[in-house]
Amino acid sequence: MITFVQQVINGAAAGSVYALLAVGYNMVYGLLGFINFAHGDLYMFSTFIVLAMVTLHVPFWGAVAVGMVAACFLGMSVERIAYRPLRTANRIAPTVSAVGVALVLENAAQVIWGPATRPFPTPLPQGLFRVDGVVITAMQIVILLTAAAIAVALRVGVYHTSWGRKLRAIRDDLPTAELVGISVNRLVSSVYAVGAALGLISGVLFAAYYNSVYVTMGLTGTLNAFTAAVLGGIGSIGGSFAGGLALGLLQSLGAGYISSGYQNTITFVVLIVVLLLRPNGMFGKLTAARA
Amino acid sequence: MATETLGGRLVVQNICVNYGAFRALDGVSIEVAPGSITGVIGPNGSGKTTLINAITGIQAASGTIRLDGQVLGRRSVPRRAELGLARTFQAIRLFQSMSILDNIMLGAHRLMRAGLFESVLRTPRSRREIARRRARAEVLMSVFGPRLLPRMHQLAVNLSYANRRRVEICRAFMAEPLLLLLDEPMAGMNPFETQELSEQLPELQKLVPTSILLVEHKMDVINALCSHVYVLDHGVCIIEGDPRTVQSDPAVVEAYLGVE
Amino acid sequence: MIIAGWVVMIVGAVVVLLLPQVSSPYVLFVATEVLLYVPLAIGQNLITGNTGVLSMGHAALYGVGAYTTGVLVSHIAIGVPLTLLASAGAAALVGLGVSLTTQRIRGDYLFIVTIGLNFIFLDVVNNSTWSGAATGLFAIAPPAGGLLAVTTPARFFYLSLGVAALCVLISLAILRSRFGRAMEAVRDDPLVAATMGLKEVPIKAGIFGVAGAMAGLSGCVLAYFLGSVGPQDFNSNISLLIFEMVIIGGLGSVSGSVLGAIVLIAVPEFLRSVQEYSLGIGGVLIVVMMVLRPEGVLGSWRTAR
Repeated sequence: MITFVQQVINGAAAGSVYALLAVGYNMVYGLLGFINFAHGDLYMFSTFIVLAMVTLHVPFWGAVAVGMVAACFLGMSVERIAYRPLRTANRIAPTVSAVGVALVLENAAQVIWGPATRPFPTPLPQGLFRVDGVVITAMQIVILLTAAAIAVALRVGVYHTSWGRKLRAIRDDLPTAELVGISVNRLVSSVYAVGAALGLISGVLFAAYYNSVYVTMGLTGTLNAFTAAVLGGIGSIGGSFAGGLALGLLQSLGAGYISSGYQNTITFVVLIVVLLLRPNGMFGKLTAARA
Repeated sequence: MATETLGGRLVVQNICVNYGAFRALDGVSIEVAPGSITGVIGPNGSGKTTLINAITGIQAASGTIRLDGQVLGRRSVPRRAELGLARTFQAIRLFQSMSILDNIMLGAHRLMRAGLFESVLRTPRSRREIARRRARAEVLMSVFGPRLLPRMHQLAVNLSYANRRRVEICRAFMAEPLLLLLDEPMAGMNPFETQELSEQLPELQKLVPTSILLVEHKMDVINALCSHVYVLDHGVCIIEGDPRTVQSDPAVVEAYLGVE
Repeated sequence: MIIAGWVVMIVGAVVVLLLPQVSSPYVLFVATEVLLYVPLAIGQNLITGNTGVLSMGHAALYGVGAYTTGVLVSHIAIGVPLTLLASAGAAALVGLGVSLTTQRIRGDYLFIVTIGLNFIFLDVVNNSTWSGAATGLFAIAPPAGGLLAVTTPARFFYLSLGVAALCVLISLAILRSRFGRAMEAVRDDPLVAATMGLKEVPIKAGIFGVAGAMAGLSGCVLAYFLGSVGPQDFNSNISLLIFEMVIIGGLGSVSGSVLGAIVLIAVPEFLRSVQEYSLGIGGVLIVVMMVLRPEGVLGSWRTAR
């Protein structure tokens, strides 16, 4: 029982990190029906920027602010350069283009910061509590609270602001939204910025939680976030949180009860099974697939 | 050519198709006699294409569809093609990256006996088979005079609209189907081309004995080709019979005038 | 034109055949490496270029081939021809299996799922004893004196040349046959293809099987060439590299795939200064090609799926 509760707590923390990354995916997917394959590499790259700032003795929160600005800038530039020209091309072209972007970011990070795993010093609380034999770290609490706060903020943003109204208009019918005067390009740009910013928060939490930053966390981030998105219903923002938590729990319970060496296998078996049974995600409603 | 007893009897009984709350076909029953050309007419949105989609298995439908007594039921689209169904599309759908000849030869895919190994190794048997089918393709193309034959190595994407239509028709005949479903083959053709095609269809049918279900808008085409015609309106078959009787029926006049 | 083409081909063939006599050991090593990637790029091209399936798990098929040889050689006395066959067969079966289990998964989702294939493969070899876990298998050598029991660099070069040439010929023959048209039909318009009796499931599975066999052959030769196999040789970056080769060479083109393998293996090797940046340069090329000429590179991929 203690193991079980322990794994649930660990899984919820890891799952919250996935969820924040999955939001960026799902917002783009819901809007344009396109998988931003480079999302994970963007998250990796901007987290490295924070680390670089910290290494240069920039105060931690200043470094996070710089990282956030850099992430937004990168997200918007990637959209402008590699995706926007392909918005009306067939589905395959932007996906392949995104692979190109991912390769560039991965290679750049490798060249600048090297292939080694780097520790991530933070002023975030590192203490731990024991409750009846179950260990809870302060970082886990920080992660859960941050994710909950962002979930609430997103809900308000999407359903109670004019930005959110425009977003939903584009999601429902892009050509009509354009006709009634919504600037689709600007809004799509802002969605990439928001997605990248949430990705950065996710990256900082990940780095602080595991005290490490490394190049390949980009690809595994992409894969975990995509799986979370599929689990929760691709295109649904709320689903990101459900899916992220579900994936985190599955992985940590799998590690606790089956084997820790098969974490990725568990992820992908879950992904394949869900895609075969429910092509639109576990909790997903039918999103209008746009070509 | 075909010495075996003429097949290709289609019997459709009471089929229904729903798109959500909208009932696209509501209990339609039709029959196509072996070797005949049977017409289906009706205003836009009356369910003509849906009927073809249901028969070819693209659209799920309730009711029964039989081809020469065999119930098509839940068979997949390719299975139905193997049983002897072929079709054309209202919006022409050729493989743009392939030549005219390749497009037409693909139609014969279901008839080819040489498997993967034989085809890849180009065994004598597979070469003979290809040569035979290719000769056949040229015979079919020759029905259209000089329209296709000299261009057969050109890419389909470079063809005129009417020629693309002709290629699609050749491709469908190339499958030597028991039943051929033509979805508005004259759409987008000028009166001269339409007239030409209504003479060429029976010629093709003589080369490849098959029953034809012809969905068409143009009354004179139906008059010239069909012995029997069904009129669909709002997913229901309102009348059937020989073309001239059907045309003068008040319900048909109203269905057409009401929409146009 | 045709005569010129033949002349170029014959001259090229003579140069390639004489390479071991005239080149330095290093050049020969790089040439062998390129040749090992040719069957991989060609298989990926059949899958993605001609059949239109977005798949990014080719390194796993490659790995299955290499490990099959590694395991067989370390347990029983077995000659090179048999390990070639066994590796091709094993990788073909895995390819078939992957294709059949994922048939219902839509294009861009399948892309991610097949990336998972690399990770699943690594999980399995890293956690098993038969595969030597994280350290891999060593001392993979053919029995002395057997058929194709290659040992010198020159003979490795000829063996990989033979395998690469075989794969090129098979690929061209498939594409020239009616099955080549059938693959393209399924890629361009699956619905119309279905109404002509073309079955998507067996066609795709067959292509995955063929591409798997090619990857298996390469994997087998690699195992002998390196004398060892380890998980690091088959990670997702290798799959990305193979995918890049096909995009840069032009989807659907056999010669393009060969060219892609040459460009992405040989150029970085010889230009040491850019080697570090090769993945990224490939990435830039991909983006540029997609943005400037998505239809040109992708040929006739007009159906949005």
